[in-house]
Amino acid sequence: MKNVKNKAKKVMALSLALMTVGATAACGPQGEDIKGDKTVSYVYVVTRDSGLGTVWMDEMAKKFEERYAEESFAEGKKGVKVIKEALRSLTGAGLVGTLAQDDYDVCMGEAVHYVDYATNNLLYDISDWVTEELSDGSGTIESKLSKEHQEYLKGYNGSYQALPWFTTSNGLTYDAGLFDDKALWFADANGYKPFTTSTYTNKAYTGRGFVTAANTKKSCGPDGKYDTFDDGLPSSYEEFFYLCEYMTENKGVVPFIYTGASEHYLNYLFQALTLNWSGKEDSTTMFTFNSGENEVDVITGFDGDEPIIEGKKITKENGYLSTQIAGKYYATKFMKEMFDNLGKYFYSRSTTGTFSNLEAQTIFINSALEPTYDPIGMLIEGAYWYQEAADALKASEDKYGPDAKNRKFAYMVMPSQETGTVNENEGKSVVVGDGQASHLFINNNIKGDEEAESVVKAFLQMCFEDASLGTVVSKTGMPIAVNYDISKDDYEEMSNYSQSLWDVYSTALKNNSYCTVYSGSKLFLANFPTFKFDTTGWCSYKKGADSYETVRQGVNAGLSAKDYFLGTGISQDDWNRNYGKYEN
Amino acid sequence: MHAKGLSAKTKRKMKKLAFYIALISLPILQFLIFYVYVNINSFVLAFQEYDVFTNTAKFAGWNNFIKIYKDLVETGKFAVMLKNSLIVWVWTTLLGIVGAIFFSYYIYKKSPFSNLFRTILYMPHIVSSVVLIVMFKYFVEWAVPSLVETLTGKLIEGLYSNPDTQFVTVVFYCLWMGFGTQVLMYVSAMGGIDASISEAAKIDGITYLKEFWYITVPLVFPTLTTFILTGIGSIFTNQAGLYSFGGKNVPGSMHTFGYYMYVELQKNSANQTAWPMLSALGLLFTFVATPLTFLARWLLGKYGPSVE
Amino acid sequence: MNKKKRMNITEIILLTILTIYTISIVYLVFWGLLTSFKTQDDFLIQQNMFGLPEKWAWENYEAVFNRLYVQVVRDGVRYKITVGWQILYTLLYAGVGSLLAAFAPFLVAYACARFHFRFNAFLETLVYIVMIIPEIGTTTPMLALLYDLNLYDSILGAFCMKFSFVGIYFLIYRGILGGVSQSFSEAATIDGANELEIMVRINFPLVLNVFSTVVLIRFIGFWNDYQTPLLYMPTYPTLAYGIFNLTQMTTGDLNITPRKIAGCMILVVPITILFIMFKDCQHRRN
Repeated sequence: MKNVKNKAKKVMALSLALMTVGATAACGPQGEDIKGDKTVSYVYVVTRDSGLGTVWMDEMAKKFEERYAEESFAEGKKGVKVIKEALRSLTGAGLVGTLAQDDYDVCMGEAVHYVDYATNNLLYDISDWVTEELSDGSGTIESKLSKEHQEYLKGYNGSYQALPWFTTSNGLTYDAGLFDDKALWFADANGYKPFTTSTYTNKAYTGRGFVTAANTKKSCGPDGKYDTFDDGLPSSYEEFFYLCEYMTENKGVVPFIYTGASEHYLNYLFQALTLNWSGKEDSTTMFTFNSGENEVDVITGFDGDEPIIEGKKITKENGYLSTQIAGKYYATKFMKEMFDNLGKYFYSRSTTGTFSNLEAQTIFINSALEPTYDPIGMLIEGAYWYQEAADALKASEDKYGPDAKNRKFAYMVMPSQETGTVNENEGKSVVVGDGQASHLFINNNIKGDEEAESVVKAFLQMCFEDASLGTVVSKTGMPIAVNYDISKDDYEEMSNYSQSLWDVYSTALKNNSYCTVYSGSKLFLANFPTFKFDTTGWCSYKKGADSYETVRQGVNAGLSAKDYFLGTGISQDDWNRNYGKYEN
Repeated sequence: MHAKGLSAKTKRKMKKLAFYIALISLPILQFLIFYVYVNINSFVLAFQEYDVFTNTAKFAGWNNFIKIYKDLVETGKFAVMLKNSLIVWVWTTLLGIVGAIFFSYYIYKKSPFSNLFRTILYMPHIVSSVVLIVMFKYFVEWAVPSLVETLTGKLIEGLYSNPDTQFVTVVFYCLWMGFGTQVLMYVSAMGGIDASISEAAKIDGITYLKEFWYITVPLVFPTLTTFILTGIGSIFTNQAGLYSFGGKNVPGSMHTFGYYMYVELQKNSANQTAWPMLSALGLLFTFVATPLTFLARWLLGKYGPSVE
Repeated sequence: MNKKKRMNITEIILLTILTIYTISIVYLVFWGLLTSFKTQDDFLIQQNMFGLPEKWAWENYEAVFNRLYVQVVRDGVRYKITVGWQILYTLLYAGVGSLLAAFAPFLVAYACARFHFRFNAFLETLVYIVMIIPEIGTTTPMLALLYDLNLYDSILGAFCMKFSFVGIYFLIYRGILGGVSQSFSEAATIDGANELEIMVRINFPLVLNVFSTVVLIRFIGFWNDYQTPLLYMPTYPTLAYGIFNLTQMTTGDLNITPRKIAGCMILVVPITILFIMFKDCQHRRN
């Protein structure tokens, strides 16, 4: 009986313990009053918890608090405090359901189409702030926006309700240090040609050869200009795959690595290939559906396996042609060539479904330093990867010492022609666009709260001053998608990789080859999920019950480049049915 | 006196009745709401349509079933799910039973290390399936290719990543981890066999295998029957661990009915318009599975082994 | 007769298969445990798949403990549910849930065993029938019901679902209680004890062993179950739910193999210890 009593006691004790647990849990995880100090003004800033990182927010918060430490935004208050938070959920249309109840003021979200929120009246109208002269005399925020951005942002109802933030030129990153060590650059003249035929064309090779110890002058690269960041890089697909062969056959280098866990990252490369092949003007019609007088190279059919390319003026009526621009076909063909050589060109674990992005980055970083590894030439990733890999970079430095510090990683410019080579003054400027759709916007909840309005305005305007933009770029390595220049100091402070990203972006801005992947077209605004420039949708294959997210999956299923390309477009019938009703 | 005695008895009886009702009322109420009502509601939902604009439900006739036909049958998804569900069922339930019953017999006969085996077979019960699956997945994705490379020098894709081997890998997992549950059940059923029967058989010089076949199997057959019968319903509910393997992103070629139903409901837990069709699908399965279960019961009763 | 029994061929084959089988299971968990202690360098770069960790990376566990959270929005308010909270929700969900799930069948089984009403037969038949009819399509109407009762996304709703008497445990309790002699109870009645006292003081202790076993079995089940919380109470993530989220992550610094597996171990270790302690207790009692 004693035993039973003991047991009963135990059960009682357990129940009591559970009740305590219950009582605690019922209260919920309460935060303290985050705006508790009544003597300062607050601005609550949130940013998406992702590869873009929180550094920009930390830097801007620091600067803001310092600048306004002695100023008053409301009676009885002095100074400002920035509440910072990184949230996973700040992405896409999902925010619609929560924004109204959320208490943050300034938000940096990803995959943002501001119209989703604007239609629900969730965004604060910032038109006045955007058109006001900034205090640093660098003009208005509006003056820093591209024409396409202005049209897109005002497209919904004529007011500004969001602003572009980071722009990420996604695609290929290459290890320039490795290119130096292994002499993987293309030579200007009389380069070394290890093979006579091209694996890409299966014909006699028509590109350049590689630099050697005796012949170190690099080619002019895809832009056709000397002493620019793309010198020595392949300028045609033929040269590109010649390089891959050279890497694998002669140099013991593995050309590519990517994350199998996020296979859609492969489409970052698809984006870069399409943009560079089609150029800014043609690419823009994928979003405007209006080419004006410009004739866009589109594929109107196939003669056997050969595409029939015609120049067409794109209007709303034949807008479906913009889903068949030639660049998409050549991007497909390029990637098919890569994956036809999967076993040879790729780091073996790339295709593994549990091989995460961090793991791919780590291997890419260390492969050139680790004696047991074949070094890896290129990583297929978003431009933001370098920030994400901060821990891995540090670990690498700790392990391998000074050699691992500020490695010479750089953005690989994609070629814009199939065969041959680019000679001086023949090339095209690099074209970049943004794949993340990151935007800053203000929660409409601050409306009517004068104190909040004035603090948030000061914060937002400060972010777009030239010096602030310079700080953000220099600390994060990622450009902000507006027009500005950064100081020499800011540039010097950046890592090699960040400098490379800035070089590419600023060059594209200068040469008018930055493609704003948005437009003010009503059709575009109303159908953003279909036409957005991300890693799904526009570059994926859909036909009947079959769908393939990437060219790799298409290749696996036995599709040719032609088949895959045809599965990514919109037919005339579908176009008329689904989009005929929109004005452009 | 007589009247008073009777009333005391009645009183006592009334008291007992009151306590009886007190005991069972809550569980019965729970049953009425969470079983009876839910099942009736699955009928109702299956014939309803939900209008988001007016926030009301209206009678839909056979629309949801037509939708199932259009969305699932015509597109070929249904056939894929049926095939996969049946494969999982055949391997895990039918073939699993054969293995499990041999293992159980081994443990029941107290052959060497049977206690140790018994304890270890408990493991899949204690360790969460998501954990086992994650470890298994990483093992076949990382360790196996590494091992193969070391042994043969050949590079292979992870078994779960490779479209050619991924479903086999999942089915293997289900079979491999499924044993444990069954073994424990059969061992306890075998424990209930009267020792004198097996003693008597031993005196007659029966062999290990013969005793298994002529005595043990027939005697635990009712337990087996139960397992097979509940297994029939599982054709339609077994997720084959797919949600733990790949969350919402398992390729369509691997879907089972169970996975499909869970994942669709999970995705649409706040979207009432999707519920009627899912409910209709569940109802459809119940209508197939129930007669199948009774048929199997009858067949097993008629043709199953018996002790002579 | 003293001679040790020789093993026959069937036994040897079975022994071999069983040995391989159990080793494979134990090895998998062991492999997971080792992997969870490896650094990124060790596991990924050096490809140390099978050996001991080069350096025991406790920081993997630290990282999961400190940085894993599930973000939920409840009544319009955002919460980051940390591991600590997840454990709390788990204890509540699995603790109370298992008590309820063990108690409901006891109540009805006791009622049937103690009192002889005609309704008993109905109840018993009902249990058999319900157990046979396959339950397939009830997740959707269950969800609809919880919405209707305002119990969706609450632990209370989960408790209501757990408080079910139908099932194998009813039959087990019924079997035990049916075999108990009524003489103790009768004696107690004469001593003036009421029915509640008889149930709690005399009969419940008789099934306490079974009761605690049922609680344990259900507790383990609920502890490990992430699908029910995910579907019916999504803003009350239990630890299993949190770990499931971890395993599905594609970004962040936890998104590397050893850390994901470390998370898994955090889910496994407490429940294994509980199980061993319980087994140990039972052994000592017997």
